[in-house]
Amino acid sequence: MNSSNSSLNALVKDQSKNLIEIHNLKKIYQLGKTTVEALRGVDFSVAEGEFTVVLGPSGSGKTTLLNIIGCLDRASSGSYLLDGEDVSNRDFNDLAEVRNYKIGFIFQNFNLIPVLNVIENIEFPCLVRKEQESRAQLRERVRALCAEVGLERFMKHKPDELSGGQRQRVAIARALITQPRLVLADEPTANLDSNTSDQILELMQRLNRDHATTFLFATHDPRVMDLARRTVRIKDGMVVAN
Amino acid sequence: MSPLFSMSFRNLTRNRRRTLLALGAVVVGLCALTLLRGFVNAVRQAQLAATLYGTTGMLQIHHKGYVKNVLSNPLDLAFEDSLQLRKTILSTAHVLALSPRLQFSGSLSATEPLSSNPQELANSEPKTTFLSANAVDPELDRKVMPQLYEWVIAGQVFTNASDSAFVVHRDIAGPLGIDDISQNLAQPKEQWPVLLAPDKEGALSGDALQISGLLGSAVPTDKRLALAPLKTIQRLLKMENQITEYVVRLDDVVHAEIVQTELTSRLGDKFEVSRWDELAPFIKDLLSNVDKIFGYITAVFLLVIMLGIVNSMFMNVMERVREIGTMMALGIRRGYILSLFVLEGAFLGALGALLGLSVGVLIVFVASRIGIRIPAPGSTIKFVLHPFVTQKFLFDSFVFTTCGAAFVSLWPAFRASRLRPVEALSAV
Repeated sequence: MNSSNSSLNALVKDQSKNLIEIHNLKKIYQLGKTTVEALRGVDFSVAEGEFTVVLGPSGSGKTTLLNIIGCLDRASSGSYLLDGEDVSNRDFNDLAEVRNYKIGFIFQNFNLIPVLNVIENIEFPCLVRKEQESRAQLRERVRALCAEVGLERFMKHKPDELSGGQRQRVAIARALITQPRLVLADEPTANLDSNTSDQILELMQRLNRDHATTFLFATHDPRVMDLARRTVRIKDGMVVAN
Repeated sequence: MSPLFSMSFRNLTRNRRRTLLALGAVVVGLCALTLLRGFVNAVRQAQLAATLYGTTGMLQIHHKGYVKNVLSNPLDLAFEDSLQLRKTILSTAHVLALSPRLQFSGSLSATEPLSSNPQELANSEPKTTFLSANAVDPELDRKVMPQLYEWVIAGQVFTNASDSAFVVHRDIAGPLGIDDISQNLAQPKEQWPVLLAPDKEGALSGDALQISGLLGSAVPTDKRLALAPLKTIQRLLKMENQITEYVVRLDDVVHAEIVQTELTSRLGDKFEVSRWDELAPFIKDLLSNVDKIFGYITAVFLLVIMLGIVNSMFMNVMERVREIGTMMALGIRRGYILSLFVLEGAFLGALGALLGLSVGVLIVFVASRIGIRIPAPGSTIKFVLHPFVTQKFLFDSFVFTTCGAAFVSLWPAFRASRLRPVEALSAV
């Protein structure tokens, strides 16, 4: 209870600090002779600890925006500051390090590594780091996270032995094990039934509260919108409501 | 510790059918290579043994100039078989035994028609055939050229150097009407064929000698070959205690060059020491060509195996594009992706090589125990081949296949590592 309160206090204290700051961000794709403007000058910021949802119809540019925020893609122009650092011109390996240390991903299709079991999937992002904590310490944290997301009984299971909800729980644990500043979730409930979706959303909300981790969603799911403290609406590559 | 190794290995179990197919190609290829190498080794060994223990010996010591003039008149360059010389040779390191020999040419004539068939008797005329013979002390010669004595296909070899018997190639015996050697042994001395041979001065000397045994062909060129008792021939040619060569056996043929140098220095200018490969260069070339041909075949086999692996690895990459994207999203560097697929290829190669070589070695072992009877080209003797492979071959094959598989996997692995995370993640 105490830890929950202190997290909330920290959240309130740092509310003014922006984790993500985007100015006039543009993304242009060249498809043969056609030029497609996926983002047309987006200005956008997310404060630390926020639980934000990016809304928009298909083709509106929300996935492109999330990819750029997740350092998976580069903008054609504009600036992007993540945790105060300009990451728009970093090379591949630098961006890999940024992703590994600062960003956690939750995908619509869970994207677990099939040959690794639950524990191995969760600890994987930590094992590819240059500087690693001790294996025992890491395993301890993995076990704690498994308990937190309700996977204690499935730690040795392979992804194909789990249900969709369980797989998404593994993906959430994997996103959080690196203690990232930001968790990006692209349609995290799209492949889940309503009950499981509710459980997953509740879990993410709890984690946001307990860990003070910033969550940014791209979704169509109205239940996610209901939970969001902030909604950013995007249309035709521009932010139309914030 | 990074799960790179375990992930690479486990990835092989994902598409089992494809892995099994790729593995099958490596196993069959390596197994076939092992069998071929085993067979080639056995042929080489048999050919080399025939040369070293039946044809030239490991080293031969002659009077200076003998090898160049052997076709003119070898007896001119005979030398004395002295105890001192023998001691000098035998005291040299790596020398096991020596055999003094006197090489001579002559003709063999049947004085009486030897056949008992009345029809043949009526049509027969005295018959003569030419031969190129080695006069030997059988006791010493057996120690140096043991294989030669295994080529006696009928009858037996004379037991001492003073006997009045000799062994001829069956192609020499045929024209003389000798088909059944046991019948021939029972014939009285008057019916023995006469050996006529020119001595040093060119004067012909002759004596009746019994044909006690018949030789088969080990190589196509030895059909005029005969073995005669050394002392009997020395007496006939008026060359008491004279020989044309010592044939030397070493503990191992690999020491031939060292011993040649040592003996050349110890024996002085009067003598020349020749190695087997100088006396029979065509055998050396033949063995070297066999190795070259095996090398080409190996290269083709390995190329096919590597193509199989690279194809399988490309399929693996194509199948796992989204997974590669996921790993990149989790912060993996390009080098890690590259290593993952290279290791996967290496594991495939190593596993295939291990299985293929094991099966190959097992078959080679069984074939070696049974022995493969096969005639050499132009030979009437059937060699019994015992296939074998060396540890070096197994080690080299394993390392080459593993490293080769890793190397060819670099191509698909590089393609995988260059994927853009955002595109890889959106792959279907």
